[in-house]
Amino acid sequence: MKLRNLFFLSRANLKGAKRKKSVLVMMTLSVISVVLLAGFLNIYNSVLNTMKNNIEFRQILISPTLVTPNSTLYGVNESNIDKIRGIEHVESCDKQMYMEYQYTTINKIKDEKGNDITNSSEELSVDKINTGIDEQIVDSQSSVISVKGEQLKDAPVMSCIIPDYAYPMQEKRFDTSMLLGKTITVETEYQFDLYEKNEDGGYIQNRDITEPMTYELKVVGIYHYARESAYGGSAILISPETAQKIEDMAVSGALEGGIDLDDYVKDPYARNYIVTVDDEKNADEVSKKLIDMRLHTMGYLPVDPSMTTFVNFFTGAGTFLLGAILLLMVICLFLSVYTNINSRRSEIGLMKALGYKSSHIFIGMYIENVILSIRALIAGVAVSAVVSLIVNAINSSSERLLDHSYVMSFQVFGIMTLIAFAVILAVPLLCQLIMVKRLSNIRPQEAMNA
Amino acid sequence: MKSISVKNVTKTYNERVTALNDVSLDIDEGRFIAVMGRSGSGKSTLLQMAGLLDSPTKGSVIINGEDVSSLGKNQLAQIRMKTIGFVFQAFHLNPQLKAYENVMLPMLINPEYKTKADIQKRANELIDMVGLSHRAGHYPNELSGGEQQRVAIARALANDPDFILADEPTGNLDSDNEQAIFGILKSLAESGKGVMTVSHNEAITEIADKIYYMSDGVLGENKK
Repeated sequence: MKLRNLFFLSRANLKGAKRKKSVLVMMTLSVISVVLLAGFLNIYNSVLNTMKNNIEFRQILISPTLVTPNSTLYGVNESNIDKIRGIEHVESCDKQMYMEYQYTTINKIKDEKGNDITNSSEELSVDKINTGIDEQIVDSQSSVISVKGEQLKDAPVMSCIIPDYAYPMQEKRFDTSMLLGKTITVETEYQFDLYEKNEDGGYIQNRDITEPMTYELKVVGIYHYARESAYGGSAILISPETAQKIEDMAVSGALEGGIDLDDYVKDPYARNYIVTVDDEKNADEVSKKLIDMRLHTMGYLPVDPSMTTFVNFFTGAGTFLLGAILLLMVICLFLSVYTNINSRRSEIGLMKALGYKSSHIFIGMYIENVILSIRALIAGVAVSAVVSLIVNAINSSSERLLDHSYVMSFQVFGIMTLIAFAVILAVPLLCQLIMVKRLSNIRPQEAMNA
Repeated sequence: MKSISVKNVTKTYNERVTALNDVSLDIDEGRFIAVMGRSGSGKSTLLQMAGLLDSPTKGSVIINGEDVSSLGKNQLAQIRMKTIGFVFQAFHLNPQLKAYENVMLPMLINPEYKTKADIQKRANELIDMVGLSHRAGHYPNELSGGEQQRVAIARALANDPDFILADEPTGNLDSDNEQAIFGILKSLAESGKGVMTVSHNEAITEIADKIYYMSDGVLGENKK
């Protein structure tokens, strides 16, 4: 039998069907629940978990060896570095570049031809730019991807990438793309932290050796600033090669001033080391192992326990609510299918008397549900789209930085829509399958019942 | 010759109630058979056996020479679709479908009709045949009882069956409509179809070719 014939019959049967409105409302609410509730739940959960798992909560600093009259705390050295790297949950143990987390000030901007365009417009005001971009970080793992321009790993030395938006405190965010292709001159706020080796084998910090530096970086790319970051400001990212070059410049600059820094920079263990843990929840365990090894750890930034509690509660409550809605939908749909079959016994019997097989009737009834599902999907998606646009607009314009993360992307919306559609197609089918025996048992002679 | 033969059929429910007791009946093409009896006599059960709507406890049903007793549900459905048309006392039109769409219903599962246009054309011809062209686009609740039954007859003829089985077709109609419906059924028999009607309406005795009487599940002798 042609499917379109069944479709014609199903459409006709839906006209004026009493159950149509209630089923449609129920399905539409289900679509809205899945798209909006599950969608935003997913986003909130993802943002909060990402925040919790931000790299700053997963890094443990180990300083060079410190020798005191009463004890020795060891830094990373050739005899322990492999053991540290072998600790369970340790992702990496790498030396900290001197340029990491350097606070900088941008004091000049040049265009592609080298012309000074500093403060030539409000957009290019260094005062404004410095309120939102004030830090340099070495992106040694090349994990940040440029969304415009070049990738950091492909860029020449003395390049940088900057965030797409800067979020100055107490001010509205602004677009930084006007700096793409430009060369910025940055000045570091303080000297390098250098460590001197002592006769006792330990190291002491010496901050008075180098001078603050000024150098140029070409802005080659723009990365999407992860708004879930806990940083108050957004950062200029440079590659390890650029950081090394800047170090080399510092060394040669110092040499010109009569200061030889070879002893500092050539000793690989005269540096802080960063141990990165795979998950924030393992940071405590790793930290204890490092302490047991009598390492000179500076501890780690723990996640606020209330955040963990909040994330767990939020996830649990949201999941419970979503589950309750879906369960209610399943129950209501099942009851709808049950009463639909029961109330149409005579009609079903007639169809069988006319020669319709149970499979024809089953498919016909399912097509009725599919038609309702499609209508519910359209209505549900329309409502969800409007609501999510409103929520996105509210969150994006919020003064609170973190709220900007709570926006539903088109991708998430699309995925949730597909899931919602799958749910409202699958559940009626499941309910009908449960009732298939009842349908089969309706006899043709039921048609003779008035 | 085309025929439905009910041979020595007994139908028992729950091993206690015997609705039919060793009943035999032939419905031949071109003949109008009436089965009469009071309510509960088993005549509707007999119609169900003949129309393959139910299966006998004992005995067999032979349609156009084929014993259908051992066939499965789907095969019986197929035979009903092609060979038998039903007319019910309560009309049983789908209230969501217009008159011509109700007539289309049996044709939607008939593979002989290739397109919906063919089905619609045939439906309109049948509606015209029962004199309801002017009401083809109306819903059943907009039609009178007589008109609804005529639509039901048109539906029964949709797949050009060999036989028409009618269960109290005039039970809900006034005498004028009664006559009209019997007239249509008679003309169908005259056109070559085998028609069986169960009724307790004595008016049918005037037009039936053969009359049977049912009493307590037993088929009485042919009185005509």
